[in-house]
Amino acid sequence: MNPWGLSVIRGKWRWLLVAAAALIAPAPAEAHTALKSMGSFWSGAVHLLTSLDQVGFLLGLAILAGFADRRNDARIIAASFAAVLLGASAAWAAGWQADLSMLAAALMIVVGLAGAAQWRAGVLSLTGLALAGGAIGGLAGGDAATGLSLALFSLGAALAAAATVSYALIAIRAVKVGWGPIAWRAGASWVAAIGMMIFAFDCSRYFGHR
Amino acid sequence: MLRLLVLCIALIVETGAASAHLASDSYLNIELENGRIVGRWDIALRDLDVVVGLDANADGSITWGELRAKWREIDDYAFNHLTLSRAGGSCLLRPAEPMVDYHAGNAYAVLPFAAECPSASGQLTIGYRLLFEVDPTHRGLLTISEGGTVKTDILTPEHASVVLDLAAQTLADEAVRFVLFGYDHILLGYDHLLFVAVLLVVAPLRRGSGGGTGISPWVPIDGLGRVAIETAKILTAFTIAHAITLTLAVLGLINLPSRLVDPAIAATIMLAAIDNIRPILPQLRWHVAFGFGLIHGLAFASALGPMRLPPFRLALGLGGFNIGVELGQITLAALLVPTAFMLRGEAAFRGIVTPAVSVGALLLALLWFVDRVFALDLLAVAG
Amino acid sequence: MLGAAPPAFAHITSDMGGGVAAGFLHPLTGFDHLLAMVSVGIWGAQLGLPSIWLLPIAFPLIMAIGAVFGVIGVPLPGTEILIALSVLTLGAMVALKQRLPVAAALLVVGIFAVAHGHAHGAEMPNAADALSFTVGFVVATGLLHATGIVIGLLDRSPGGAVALRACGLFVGLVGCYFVYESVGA
Repeated sequence: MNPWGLSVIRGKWRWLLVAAAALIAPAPAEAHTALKSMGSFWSGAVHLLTSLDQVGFLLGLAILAGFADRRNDARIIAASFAAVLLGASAAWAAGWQADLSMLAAALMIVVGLAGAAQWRAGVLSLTGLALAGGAIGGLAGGDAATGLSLALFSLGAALAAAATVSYALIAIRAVKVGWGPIAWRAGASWVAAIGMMIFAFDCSRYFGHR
Repeated sequence: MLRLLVLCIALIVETGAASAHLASDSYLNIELENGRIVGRWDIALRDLDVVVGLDANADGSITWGELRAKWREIDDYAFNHLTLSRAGGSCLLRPAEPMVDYHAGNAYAVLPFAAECPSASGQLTIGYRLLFEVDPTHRGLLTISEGGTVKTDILTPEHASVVLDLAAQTLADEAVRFVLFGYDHILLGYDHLLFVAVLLVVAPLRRGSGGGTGISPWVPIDGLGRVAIETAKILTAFTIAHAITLTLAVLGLINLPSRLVDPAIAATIMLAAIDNIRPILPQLRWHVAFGFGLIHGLAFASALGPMRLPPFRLALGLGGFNIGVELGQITLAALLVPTAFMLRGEAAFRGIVTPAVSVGALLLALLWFVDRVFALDLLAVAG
Repeated sequence: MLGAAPPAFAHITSDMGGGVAAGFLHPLTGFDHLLAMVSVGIWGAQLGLPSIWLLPIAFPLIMAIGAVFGVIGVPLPGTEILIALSVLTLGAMVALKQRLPVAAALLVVGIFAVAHGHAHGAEMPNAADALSFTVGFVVATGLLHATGIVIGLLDRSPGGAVALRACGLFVGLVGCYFVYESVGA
């Protein structure tokens, strides 16, 4: 007798899928309620966009790419996307939570100095940098995904990273005035400056200068 | 290779699990009359099943007998997650005889209650915590009325406690709140997002004549301006369409249960995805956006309808909500389109990425379709 | 009042925003920093090529070196005085429209950049969020610098050039006051 016609079926089907998804199913929640209440996908995107060292690196990378052959642009964007995606998955899978701040800062210094010097990088260097930086960005975000759907979180983060580089490149390539390159080089030096300070800060924390 | 395939499938399923959970809203109506406070709280049985466990014999359906056995627990759970206080002193909530009602074909437990407060006047404060510990995307839709004045609010984990001052709230505040509600609603509505995404991923492309370069029917559009216009056309068409059906549905002129609408949404995604690979729909993307937008609008109706707002308020709510949805879509476009634009020239993007994304969307939507048509709740894995 | 607080999406960055704001305000609320940074920009504009582009690019890096010392806690003797002197000197350079060879200009600016950087860097570990603080102050300093360059474009017109030199005089005088303060204290 089912007068209300309610149907909330929990069949044995479910358990098969639970088993399949068990490897990737999210752990119970604690993390930042604010991020979590916007859902996994947007949490991932916002997490990356508010990780200032990641954004700094991506902007520095875009500036560097801006001085290089524009045919490399797509490859770099794709590399950033893939690296963040894989990095986040790897972090989660390995259950690994390292402080990658120094590594991220070091990469900021590299792209920043290269950009300030207006170094015309080749596709291999650029792609390599994109992969390295993206992987670090993804790895750093992995632990923030606890309690959330990893797939959506990393997708959101990866798309955000790709979008950041895309926006920057669109802007850089659109500016045709003479002082454009100077502004980008100055921007790159600022990225390097931030990287240097963060690196020093992390060093002092680890080696106890303070 | 096989393991990679299994991994991909598992990922799609897991994503489906995490995102299939349709937006969870409860409707809290409170009336103040001559110092008395009465309320009515509509909570989806689907949500209560997660926290209280209603299907006692796990036979896949809930009988009235099973529900009646659990009313006490439902009341306990619900009213332990709601607090009302007046002028600093907390009010005692007295639940009355519960009922069941349907909104858009979904069953809701209706919990009427009365509140006894230490003082008959003063600022009313509501603390709402229902379901937040298991689902931070749950929202409480609050409607408060006193005399002829009606106010609304949307309760979230960040905004779980509201102090009510009915006199002070302006229409502008309320309108803004509905905008944010619409924004929230679409950004958490993964099925709607996926549909828009499927359309947007090919926004910087157009149909090439004679198969384009041979690997893909798509050819890049030149110029950011043209791409931006194309994107704007798609989004606006979608918004106008869903605004139309949303309004009609909320006004009661169309009444389709979500049993029908939800699978239809999944179908729209599947069709759009197939169209990315092989054209089966009208040429112009914005026509597609419009046509399918009509269906999506019906899905949104289930959010606003049960708030039981008076006509003017409803109009305000609808307007704000639709603006919010449009803003949400713009946000998604802001995330996706620039990247797609930069990649549009690459053969790999047109030949591999867009078909892969489309196939992924197709599979996900198929899962949802099956899940929704057969009400299997296959994907209610996430806790 | 039914709270105007919006749902989840607007909430996120309130903490981070505070850190960035704190960093951003650091050069702005220190009048000595502010005047010196803007003056570097103006002087660079007055000097023309190649300083006008070399300074904006080299300056942040040199400043970062000073900042690094500040962060790790290596003391730099006389930062206070150097910062005060920077205001005085740079104001004077602008007022006199002093032309210097690029290397000399870079040296002068460089010494001051190290001092300013050190001051910011010393403050950084005290900030709630070091990364946000750094980004904030770097962006602010960059913007001040850029503002100075834009103002410095006034140099193109004769009237503007005079106005600039007057500003330089003003800055130099304020610098005198700062030097007096830092020495007397």
